Formats: sequence, C-alpha cells, structure tokens
Amino acid sequence: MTFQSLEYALLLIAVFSMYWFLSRRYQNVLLLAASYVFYSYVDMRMALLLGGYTLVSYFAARRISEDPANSKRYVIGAAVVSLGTLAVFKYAGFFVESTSVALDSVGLASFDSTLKIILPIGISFYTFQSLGYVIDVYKSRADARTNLIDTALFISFFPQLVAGPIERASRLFPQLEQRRTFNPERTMSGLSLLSWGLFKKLVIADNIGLIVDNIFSANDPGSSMLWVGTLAFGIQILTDFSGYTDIARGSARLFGIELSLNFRHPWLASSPADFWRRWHITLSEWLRDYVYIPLGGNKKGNRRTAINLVMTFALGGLWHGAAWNFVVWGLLHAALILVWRAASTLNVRSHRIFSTTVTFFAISAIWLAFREGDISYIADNIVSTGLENQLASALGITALLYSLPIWLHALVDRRAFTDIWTRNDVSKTVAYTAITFTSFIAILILRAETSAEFIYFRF
Amino acid sequence: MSQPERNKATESQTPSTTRRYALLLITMLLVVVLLPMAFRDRHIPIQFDQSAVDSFEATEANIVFLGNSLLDTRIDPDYLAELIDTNVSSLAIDGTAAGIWYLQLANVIAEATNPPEQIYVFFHDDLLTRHVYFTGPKDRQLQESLTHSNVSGYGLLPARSESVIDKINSVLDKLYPIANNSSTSRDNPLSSIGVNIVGMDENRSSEASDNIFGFANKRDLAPTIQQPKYHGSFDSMIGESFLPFMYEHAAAIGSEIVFVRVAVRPNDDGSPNEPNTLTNYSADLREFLESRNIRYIDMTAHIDEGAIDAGMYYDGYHLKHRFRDHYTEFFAEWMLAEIESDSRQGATP
Repeated sequence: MTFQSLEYALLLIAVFSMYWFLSRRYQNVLLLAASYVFYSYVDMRMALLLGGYTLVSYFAARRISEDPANSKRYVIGAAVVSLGTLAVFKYAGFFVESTSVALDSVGLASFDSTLKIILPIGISFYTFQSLGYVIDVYKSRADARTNLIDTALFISFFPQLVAGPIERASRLFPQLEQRRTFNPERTMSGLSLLSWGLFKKLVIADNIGLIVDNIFSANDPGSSMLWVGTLAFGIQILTDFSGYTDIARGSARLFGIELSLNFRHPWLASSPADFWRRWHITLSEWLRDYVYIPLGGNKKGNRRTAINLVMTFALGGLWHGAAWNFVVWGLLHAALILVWRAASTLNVRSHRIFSTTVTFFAISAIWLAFREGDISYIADNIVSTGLENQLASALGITALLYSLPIWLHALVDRRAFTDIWTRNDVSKTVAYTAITFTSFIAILILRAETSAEFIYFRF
Repeated sequence: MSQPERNKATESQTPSTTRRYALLLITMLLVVVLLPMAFRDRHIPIQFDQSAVDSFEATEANIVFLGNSLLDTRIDPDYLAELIDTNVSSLAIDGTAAGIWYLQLANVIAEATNPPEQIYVFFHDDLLTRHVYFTGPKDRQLQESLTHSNVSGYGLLPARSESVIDKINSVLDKLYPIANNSSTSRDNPLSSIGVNIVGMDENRSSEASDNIFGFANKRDLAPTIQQPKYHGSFDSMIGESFLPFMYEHAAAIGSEIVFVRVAVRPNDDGSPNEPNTLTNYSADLREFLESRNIRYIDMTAHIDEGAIDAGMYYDGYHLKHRFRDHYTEFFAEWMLAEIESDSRQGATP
C-alpha cells in the first residue's frame, strides 16, 4: 500500500476514527494491526518476515537485559540474524553476480548468476531500526521492553515502516508507552504536514520524474541533457523522499506520535558535511553512532578519520542498493567531504551563498552515480555534444519552476516568519489551513497523470 | 512542513483550549474539504475535429487500423501499403482504449464518403472489453474532439465501476470537478512555460522532443516489464463494453471489422506469458465473435511459431522500434494468406 493511494487514505481514516476511543493498550493493538495490514497488503509473506525481525529483537533485547554476562553473545547473534537476513534478501544476487563476473574476468568458471529473490519493501529501514534497538539495550542507552506488542509496534509502525525515519528506541518507545490523548492542534499540524508531503510527491517529484525518466531512458541524450537530468533528479529525489517523510510524520502526528525530523532544507547546506546533517538525518545519525564512532570516529588521527569516513560512506552507499553505483555514490560523497576539509584548512574565506551554491552543484553532480548504474552509458553521453541544447534548457527551466515551492518553503521556514504564524491559535489555524488547502488544490490541478512509486521504497 | 514544528506548550492544553482548537480544526476541515468543491475548471468544450475526417478521407484507405501505442510500434501503414498493394491508414493514438476507438470508428471512419473495406482493431489482454467508463487516458479534449454532437457512444450505457475504490474515485471526481481539467500535458515532460522561456515554438519543441525521447532512441533496458492484466471474465465485461457498438457500427457502414489480440512479451523460454484467466477470456471472446461471423485473431499463438520473440520487445507490450518493419512484414504475410484463402473459398475479403 502506498501513501498516495486511496487505500491508504481509507486506512488512515478508519484507524483514526477508532483510535481516540481506545485505551493505550488497545491504541497500540490497533496501530499494530493497521501496520500489518499496510505491510502485507500486496504480499502476505512480508508480514512473516517483519514478525521474524520483531521476535529476534524482542528476545535478544530481553536476554541482554536478563543475562548481562552473555550480553555480547546476544547482540552479536541478533546482528548476524538481522544483517544476514538483509544480506540474503537484498545482497545475495549482487554478490553472486559480482563473483561470477570476477571469476569470468580472470578466466575461471562463471555460473548462472541470476537469483530470483524478492526484495521485501523497507527491509533496510526496519533492519537498522530493530538492530539499533538491540544495540542500544546492549549499550545501556535503552531498556529492554517486556511488552511484545509495544516492541512489535516500534518495529512496524506503519507511517515509518517502509522508508523511515529510522527511529531510536529512546525516542519512539516512550511515546508508545504512554496514552495519547486527542489534541486538535496536533491533528491540524499533522494534516497540513501530510498534505504538504503529498504535494511534494504528486506535484513536484512526479512531474520532474517525467523529465528524468525520459532523459535517462533515451539512448543518446547527450551531455547537456544528461546534466539537466541529473540536476532534475536531485530535485526529484529530494521532494520524493522528503515528501514521503512528511506524509509519514504527518500521519504519525494524527495518532499523537512525533517522528524524527529527517530533512532540514538540505539544498541550503553550506558544505558536504553540512549536507549530511540535513539530508536523511536519521540514517546519517545511525551510521555515525553505530558505524563511524565505533570505528574510532575522528579521534585517531587524520588518516584513520579518512579511512573511517570512507568505510562509513561506502556502507551507506551499499545500504541504498545492491549495486556498485551506490557504493561509488557513497565513496564520492566521502571524497567530497575529505576534499572540502582539506580545502578548509587553507583558511580561504568564502561567502555562505558561494559555498552553498558550490555544495549544491557538487552534490547534484554526484546524484548521477546514484541514478545511473551503467558507467559506459554515462561515459558515452557525458562527452557527447548534445544535439538539443535548447530543449535541455527548456527542461532544466521546467524542473526549476517545479522546485520553486521548496525554495519558498525554505524562505518562510525562517524564525521571523514562524514567530508570526505561531503567535496564537487563530494564526496557527490560518497557517495550517492555508498549507493544507493550497496543497490540496495544487494536487487536484497539477498532479502528474501517473504517480511513480517512492524512490526509497526500493531500498 | 518543517513544518510548523509543534509548539511544546500545546502538549498540555486545558479543556477550554482543546475545545477552542477542536472548533478551529472543524473550521479547517470544512474549508479544506468543502471550498475546493466550488472550483470548476474553466473548460470550454471543444468542437468535433472535422480535420480528422478530412485527413482520413484523403488517405482513401481500404484498410484502417485502430489501436494505441501497441499498434504504433507494430504496424507501419506506409510500408504495409507497399507490401499488400492497397491504401492503408493507421489511426493509432497512444494510451487509448475501446472508448476512443469506438469514437474514431463512429465519427471519423464512418463519416468518410467511401468507408474502408476492413477495419483492424489491435488490443492487448482484455482491453477490448474494459468497461465503458475506461477510455484509456482521462483526456477529455481528445474525447470531445472525436465526439460528434449527434453520434456518441457515451451515455448509452451506465458506467458502473468495478471496485469500491473505483466507485469512491468516481464520487471524488464528481465532488471535485477541478481535478478533471483536461491536461494533455500531464504525461509530457515538456512544460509550455519552459519552452516559451527559451523561445522555442511548439513545432520545434515537439520535433526536438521526438528526436531525443522518441521510441527510436529508447535504450534497450526496459525499466519494468509489465505483466498481463486481467479485469474479469468475458461474460462479466461484454455487457458494459464498447465491443457490440463497434461491430454493429462497422456492419452499418459495410466494413468488415477484425479484432487482433496482440501477444504480450513472451517468457524468456519463448512460451506465452499468459495466465489461464486470459486464455479463457480469449476463448470466450473467440466464441462470441465467431458466432457472429466476426473475425478474431489471437496473436499469442504466433509466439509458438517463432515469429516474434522476447528479445524484440521493448517492455511488456511494445516492440522495439527496429522490429516495426519485421512485424509489419509478418502481418502482411498473414493478411495476404488470408486474402488468398478467402478467394479460394469464394468469400468476400
């Protein structure tokens, strides 16, 4: 079930209309049932996998808590099972194919590398979330939960199940463990956030997606068109993913649950490192806390810091997809951060607008590796002279026009403006209504004819 | 939005504040839900496009093809005309289904002074008998340009939805008419604003777009392989479909109508990619049409003959552009064989 479907709207309305009449326990039971309906809507087998992850996390966390002497064994066991399952479903085909190609290239036997394994939607997200919980219990950053329903809901809460935000136990559990009471203001804010997310997806991302898909499906788009496609993809993936997150957070807010902020105007980042503090924040923090810092972080000298950074970003790239282009994309980000750091030691002062612009274009260029997995296709087109430069300009301008609302959003999201609209209940209502109403009308009029699946669903 | 990150103070609202906010929430919902209902699109119905009739008449076609992009990627009318030595016209329009084809038949082909001898209708899966409300794209302008004021298939049959979701969608379409504004550009990557800003005229931009994004310049990598689609048994669909209107109208103008069900991309081992439900549908359709002396060809069978293989497909339905001539030749051979067979049996082609 996808967020932009009518089925999801019906599920949301049905759950919302029952939810506020229930006690805390039954509120969680209802949300859990809705989560499994949501997840198994297309394929019932997916629910079994989700249930398996829940049981592993639940029992591992409890054993860690009850048997501290052997806690390391349990945390390693949970990691092996969780990451092993992820590896089988997501990476087995990739590794088998890569091995086959490697053997073939040195003249050794190759073999049929086609594995037909279905990739369960959202498996990367809930693997990290459930594993994060077990590690937090092991590190005494969170208590092991004894309530299986609460644990199951923590892992499967439907708004954030398939594409995050990746929640931490210390943040989400306390909310699930207290009774939520109906708060009309929170409902208003949830609705406006949800409709803004839908607007970003259905109007901006899907319309720009048409441009991107057409360019990257062309055999011979030429250099200028390829760069326009890459720039447009940067806008598409941002609005697609942040749109998803807004819908997730807005939906959760309708049930009195506040999910983590995942985006903070990443297109305004003033450096590559700043970009990662603004883009997919919950993944960045997860990788920082569970990979980068355990590797030593930046405490062991420049060389070791660089190695840690490269390893973390390579893993982050691979997390996105089982293909080499995602690894390359991660490595390019690591390289960009290292180059930027080296450059900053020169103490060259630059205006923030300049550094933001450079960051924007550098990050945008790197998206090419993310969008296109065929290196030879990139190589062929990146040097070829585009035949239709005027058309490329027209498409680039179209993409920028579609992206105007997100720039506008960055502008009005400044303190000076938020102070005005949060002044009293009427001003808040006017703001929420204006956002919801405008988004709704824009969706009715400007949505793309067909809505593509969310890009991050495939991860 | 970043939103309006919630004010922490609102976590502990007093009952009176909650009541006040509840009223404001109701006000907000009323505005958001009711106000858009008042918006009507400023759509001015366009007139029937007489030029379509004139263009068709000018071709003096003896054989006409109706269909969508499936047809367009398979049949080159000019090349076919050379091969079978008679005038051929293709009225293929991307994304269309039986509703549009019926309008073309009733309001364009039938309007010609000399109607064609044969009309071939290309479709896939069970598209031919999809319910009357399904015309392919929700392109109202296209429907209007093909609708003659006094000859229209629309409104003749009750449009009954298939599922609860469809019914809800129909209700929403009625509640929010502004959502139905005809937007022919919704599937077009080119925005007229972007084109205008760089100073391209419409013809130039269409030509440039065709050069870059046209079928001939598509990569071999199909983004997705669509799977066959089945929407219900033949018996459940025929009563509310355009099919009876189509063959009755063809008979009224004295043209033979032939329904051609094209094969979807076969499996890699060459076997037809067709679920039993669609095999049964095709058998029922054949029985229905043949009992009325209407010719029906299911090209799925021709997969077995090795004429078309999986490698020739761009995606689940469309052929790669370079195989268009191959398919046209293949179809011409079949047509010539049929004509020869008919003439041996003394039947009228």
